[in-house]
Amino acid sequence: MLIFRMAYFNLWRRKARTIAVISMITAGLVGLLFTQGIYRGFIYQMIDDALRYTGDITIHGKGYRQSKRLTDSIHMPDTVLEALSEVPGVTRVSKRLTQGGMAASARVSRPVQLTGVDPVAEKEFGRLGLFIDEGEFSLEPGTRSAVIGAGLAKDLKIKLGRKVVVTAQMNDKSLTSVALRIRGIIRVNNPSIDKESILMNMSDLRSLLGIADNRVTQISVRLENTANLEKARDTLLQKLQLQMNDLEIFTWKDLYPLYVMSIDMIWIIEAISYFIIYLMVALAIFDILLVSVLERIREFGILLAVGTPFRTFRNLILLEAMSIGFLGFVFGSLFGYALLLYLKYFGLDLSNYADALGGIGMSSVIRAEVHWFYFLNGMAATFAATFLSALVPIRILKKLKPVEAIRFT
Amino acid sequence: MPEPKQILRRTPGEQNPGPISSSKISSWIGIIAKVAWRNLARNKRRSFMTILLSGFSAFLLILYSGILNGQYGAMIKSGVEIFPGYIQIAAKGYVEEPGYENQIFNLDETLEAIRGAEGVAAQTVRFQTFVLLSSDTESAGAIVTGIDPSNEPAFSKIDETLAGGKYLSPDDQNVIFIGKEMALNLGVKVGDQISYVSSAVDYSFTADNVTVGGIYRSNVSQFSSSMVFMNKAYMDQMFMTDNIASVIVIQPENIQSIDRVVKNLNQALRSDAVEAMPWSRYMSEMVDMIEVDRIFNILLLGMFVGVIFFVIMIYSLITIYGRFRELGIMRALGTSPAQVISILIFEAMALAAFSIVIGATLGGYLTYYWEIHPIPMDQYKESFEQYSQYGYEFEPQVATLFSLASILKNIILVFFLNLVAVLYPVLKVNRMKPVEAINYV
Repeated sequence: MLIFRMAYFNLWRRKARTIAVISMITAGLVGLLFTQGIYRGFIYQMIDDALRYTGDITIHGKGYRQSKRLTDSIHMPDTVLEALSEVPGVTRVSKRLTQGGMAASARVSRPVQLTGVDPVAEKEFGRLGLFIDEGEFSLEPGTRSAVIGAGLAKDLKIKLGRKVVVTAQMNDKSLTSVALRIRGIIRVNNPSIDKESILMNMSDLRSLLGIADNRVTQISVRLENTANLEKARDTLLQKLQLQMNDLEIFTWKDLYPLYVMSIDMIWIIEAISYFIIYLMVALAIFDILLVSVLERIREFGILLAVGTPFRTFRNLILLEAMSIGFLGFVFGSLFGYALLLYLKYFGLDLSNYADALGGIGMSSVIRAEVHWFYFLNGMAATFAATFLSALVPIRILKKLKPVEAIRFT
Repeated sequence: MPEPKQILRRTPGEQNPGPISSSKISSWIGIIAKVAWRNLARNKRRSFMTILLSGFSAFLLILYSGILNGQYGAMIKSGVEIFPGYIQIAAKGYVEEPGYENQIFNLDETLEAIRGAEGVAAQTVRFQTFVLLSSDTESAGAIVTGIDPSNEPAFSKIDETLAGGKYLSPDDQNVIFIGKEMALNLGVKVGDQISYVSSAVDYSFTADNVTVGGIYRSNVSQFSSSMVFMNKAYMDQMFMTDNIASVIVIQPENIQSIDRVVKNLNQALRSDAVEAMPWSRYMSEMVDMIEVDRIFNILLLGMFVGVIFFVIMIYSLITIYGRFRELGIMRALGTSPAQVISILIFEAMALAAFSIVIGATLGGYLTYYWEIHPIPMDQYKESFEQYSQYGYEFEPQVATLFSLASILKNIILVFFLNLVAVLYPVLKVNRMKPVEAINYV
């Protein structure tokens, strides 16, 4: 207990510098937790928004991604679905049929993607019903209803309940037009939906395009655990081995390499941030420990002369260093956790930049991601920094000769 | 023990020394500088650490700003030069609602008004609308731009990216110039016929058959899969756009003086119906995107610099407190508080100056070097290409932007932070009583 009391009094003897270092560790850790939480929130939210519609795995007909032609559709969707039912970890599947066309409101026309979906499966697949800005996700067959992306609705200057005329090329290559009533305006933070898409019932689109068979242009798959992405893709490839001349299978990493780079960048940014911050922490603790040791060198000399073992000093210095680190870590974690919780539930509101963020598939409110490993990282870094910073002062004490120390001025 | 002020106070018979001469001031500064210099040399650890950390801050700020400015510069150049141009003249309200109601309806008069405006290097006229294109087998929506084939190459360079056929000529009538992706989508090649359907500016139906005269390629797939071009002279007949345009694009003589050229143009226009505007107005999404990115980067950089200056403050605190007795004796011997503060501030300024020279030289040099020799990022080539879906075309490299203004701004910031870092210990010392300070252990 004596050693604890000594450490306490030593630290408290120079309040200003002890408090300054603890405050510094606190501020540094809060900054790091904020950075980790908000950056991860930013990137993973963007990926979640993209995958909500695209899925973890996407299957297209061969060449469809480049050509966007109906002739490059998946012509045997049932075979693909059957294969998917045998892939472990597949939780949800959605089939879609997409054809490019033009949409015209009273005075404005825009190129669009007309996408036929199964509304029940689609609601479950990406919980699209939760992302309706206005109206409802209602696409009853035969009603010529449509759900339109919020950005597209804005461009077309069209409101809920009004009609939009869409023109597209039919399966037999002739042009066809139909008036669709807007039942819902959707915003999923995916630019391909929000700015380009009109969703309608699959059977309505098939009859509009004159498609008699059950072809689709895309089958999207959600997995129970995205960690099994490559394994699920490989299993699917194996099951569809005979059909692979007509199909292409993509994981979300193939479709969004930019997001993969962003995830890599998170680790790099975090590693650099931790290194710089904790290098500074180590330098600060080192300095106050060194000065503290030099100030007390005569005390240490006398204690050595009366037979106090070196390990007592070593433990004392380590305890002082660890106490500072511990207090900084505790305060930093508490304030940082409070900040992260706030940002998790209320988010960082960037509504002023909503259009720009929407353009890259981002919500205007960025919510922090909170993980226990942030605190583990912080704890490990704090204690590593404090331990390393104590080594030099301990070494000085180890070389200390009692007579020289007593005469030290 | 008498207070220092009593020692310095003149006695009743003492003569007024008169106004302070410049030689006295320089001698005073000389003494302070000498004392400060000796202190810096004596406290080597503090001096070394402050120069190292503050120099690192200056280096980090300058280099990081250079990288960010380089990235933003590439983003702006790519986004602006790919098609929109640095300055546009359009009807008021066109940016917010680019419909047929908001066109330049007096094109000839507008062109006449801006003729000879200062700072304008070139200009071209565009009319833009949407069409549905159909080949024999496929159809696709597209944005069609009616251009002046003679002037356009100076602005968007679409003629240089020819993948087949030929670029538009001023005599072309039923000819369309399309992107490689669009050609693939429609399943057409040079010489094939396609038809378009759209509405003219009077909202009447318009349609015609056109020949694919040329195919261009672009790394920005979003651009080449949606943008098609026709001769505006032909579109004037089909879309009723004679004397009408969506925008007049202006090429300034110097892209550093865009705001001045915009001002000149608006003065020349003197119009309630049309206005000249810089790229930042009609590309506000990109401006906002840069702003969001800048905010995040400032937060990150602010965290580093904040913690670094915390360390500088701790080192200053320890050193200045270590001299508490010495400063107390100086005060007791008649040194005024202002002189003590001057010495301490001088020390901080000298350290800041040393560190800035080192940090700014190194940071400035690397910023300059990487502007000329960008850092290759070939391993992320595919990821850089992904930016094309947002309308940007980037080389897989990181290029910095050397800017003296940015370097100067960061130098001032580091200098200021160095002074802030010693503020607390200096104020604390200033409040000391000589007797207490002398007895301080």
